[in-house]
Amino acid sequence: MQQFANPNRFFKAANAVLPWCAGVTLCCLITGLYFAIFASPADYQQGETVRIMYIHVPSAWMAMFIYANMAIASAVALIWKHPLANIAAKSSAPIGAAFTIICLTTGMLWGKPTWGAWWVWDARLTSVLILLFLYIGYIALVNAFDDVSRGMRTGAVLAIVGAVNLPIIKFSVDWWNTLHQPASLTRLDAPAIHFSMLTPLLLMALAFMGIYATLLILKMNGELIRAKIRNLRIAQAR
Amino acid sequence: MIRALIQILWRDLRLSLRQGSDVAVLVTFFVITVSLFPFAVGPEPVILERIAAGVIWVTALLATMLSLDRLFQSDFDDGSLDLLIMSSPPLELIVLAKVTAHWLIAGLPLIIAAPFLAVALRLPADGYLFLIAVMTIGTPTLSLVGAVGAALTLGARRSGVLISLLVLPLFIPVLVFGVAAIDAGISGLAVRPHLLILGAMLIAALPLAPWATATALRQSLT
Amino acid sequence: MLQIGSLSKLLALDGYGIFVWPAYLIATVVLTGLLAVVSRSLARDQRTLSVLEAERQSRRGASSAINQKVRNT
Repeated sequence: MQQFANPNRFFKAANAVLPWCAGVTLCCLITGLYFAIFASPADYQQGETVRIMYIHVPSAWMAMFIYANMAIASAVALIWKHPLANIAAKSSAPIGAAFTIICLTTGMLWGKPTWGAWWVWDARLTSVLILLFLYIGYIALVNAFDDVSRGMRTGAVLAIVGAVNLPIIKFSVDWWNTLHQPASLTRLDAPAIHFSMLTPLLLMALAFMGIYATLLILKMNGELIRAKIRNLRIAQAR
Repeated sequence: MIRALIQILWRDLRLSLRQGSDVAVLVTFFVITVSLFPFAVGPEPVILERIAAGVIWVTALLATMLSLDRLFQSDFDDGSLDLLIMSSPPLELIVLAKVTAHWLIAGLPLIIAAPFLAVALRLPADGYLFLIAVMTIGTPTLSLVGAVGAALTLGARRSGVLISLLVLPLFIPVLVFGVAAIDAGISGLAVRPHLLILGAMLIAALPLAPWATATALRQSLT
Repeated sequence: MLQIGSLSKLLALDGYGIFVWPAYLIATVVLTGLLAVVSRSLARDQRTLSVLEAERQSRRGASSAINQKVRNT
């Protein structure tokens, strides 16, 4: 980690990795989509709608994984003051928000045919909705300061506060949902998932992970270049 | 050092009471907003008493949130925040003193006004004691968590709206258990678990929120 | 396994197609949109950076030429 504190070294390493990243992502994506759409069976209960699961579940995993990343990166930034940590967190946020939006919208499209309603205040949907609020709050805060580094440092504190709160929120929402659960709600708890469905699921998960890595590298490059631009402009103003 | 902290608390209290209008505006907002709901859902007692606890709590959240930018902004603007950060008591304790002042100005009036509004919303008689108890435990947590949001947005653009975006998701657990406690009390179910969880949140917020607030305040200095 | 009987069967998906395909479409649109925005701003920033660095070079070149002259006299 210490080696990559130097932005130039990060650029070189990241740009070397990027083509491989994008390539592997594309492979996983194509095979994953093939399995998801063509080479996997329809569910005996939910029919063809189960194909939405291959987008919905991996995006949910990514939404949570990316938020955890942001929290850890923010902690690293605050404790060890690693120069790239805040940039990693700031760059991850829009990607995480995008996956959260995908999770919520595909969830709604999955919920309508299976539950009969576009939205239910199910514990999981509600928690993901609050996660979206946390992402949007972070992005808004980081971009609300004229001083970019102040924005990132403030965002780091918010990310950690949000991460500490996330289990509390999850617990509250779970508990609230069991209290208010409507009688007719059918839970979509999957039992042990069959191999033919697991394959596309894992492939799509890998593809999404690759998409995150690719986008993260691109965004971090952008942030570092913008930092250079700012420094050059300050130097030239003298 | 205790004397210094009490002086800070006393200073904040005096500053707001000198304005006088702060408390009045807050309570008026509380009353007016709660009064909007019968206009919205109709005056039927059945509906009103079902939503009473929730409406009072949500409005209390909103009122607390609106009062938050006063917490640090004026000190930030006139430079006294810099002095506070550099003074000898630990910043975390200074934050605790200011949050206490904030609760006395913003939380306590809400607790006093709430039972009257509960009458207007036809809250069943069993609920009043729990309403007061729950708000007494819950509003300090709101002030503590809100202070984090207030400190984070110092000097930011559109900080008012930004505070709400940051702080409302963090208020949700207090809201959930607060309303649940009152509803449980009304229907005769166990209230103690909810009160214990609310208390646990308060106890957790007491060290954590000042730490986060102090970190954010130090960042605003540079 | 899904029988690719015909394109219309694939689109319909037993009547669930109207839910499944928009889901895939939304995911595609959001992710490619994000990719486009990120790539475009990266390209724009790289251009700005090269412009600024070229300016700096030319300034350095000009000032070093002046310094040479001063030193030579």
